[in-house]
Amino acid sequence: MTEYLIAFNGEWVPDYSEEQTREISRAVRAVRDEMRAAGVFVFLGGLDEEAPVFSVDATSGTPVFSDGPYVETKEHLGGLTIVDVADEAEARTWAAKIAVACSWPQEVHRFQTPGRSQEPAAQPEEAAR
Amino acid sequence: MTEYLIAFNDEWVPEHTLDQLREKSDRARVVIEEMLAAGVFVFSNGGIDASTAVCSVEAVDGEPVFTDGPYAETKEHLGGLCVVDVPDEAAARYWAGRLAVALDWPQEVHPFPGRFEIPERFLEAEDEEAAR
Repeated sequence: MTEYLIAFNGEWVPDYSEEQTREISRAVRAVRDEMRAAGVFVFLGGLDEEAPVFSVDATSGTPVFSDGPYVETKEHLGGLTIVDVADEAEARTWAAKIAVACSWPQEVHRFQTPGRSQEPAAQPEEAAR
Repeated sequence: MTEYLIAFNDEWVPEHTLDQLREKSDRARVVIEEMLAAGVFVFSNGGIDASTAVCSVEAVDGEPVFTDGPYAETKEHLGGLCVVDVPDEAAARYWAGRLAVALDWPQEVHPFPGRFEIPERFLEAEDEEAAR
């Protein structure tokens, strides 16, 4: 199995009404549930460009925190999905599902090293059922 | 609990020998073991850079259209990331600081969830209402 990152930058996302955002959220949630059922889901999350960001640099030997991004860049990570799949074809299939659900572009990266993950065995609401 | 992304761009990582990289990797692994023991660890992988973009995919009229390589040419590229699920920002700062010390290159910290996610409880309340 190989981990793939399916990610988008905030700048690739058009403006949406609250209703459209709600619809997209539902569609993405359905894909996430499908990923869980297929046993390939690792993580999915979207970032808020308005949310406070901070950075930490310990190259001096002690961690030094600063508010804001570490460097100003033109594009900013907007959200990401991580899947652990058998091959690239499978990664492409899931990336396509996310792209259709979101309706904005996604970029796919193959992690060159195996990572670590702790996908919870059961969600609290599922366990309660 | 709130999920936080602790990430770095590949451009922030100085040149390393293979031995130095192995040492950093071992040090990061110790921090991750501690995150696991503390019950805050979700995911980590540092194995991406500008060269790892396989393809991009965009929905055109509802159908996925693939292109090779990155979607946009950018100056900086995500190099690796770690996701933790912690009670507050202070805890996120603590773990980001630990990773920054272990790896010795800067880390940027972002809270999840974002504007594209409607909290589950709202969606579930809506579903229940629709079912009535």
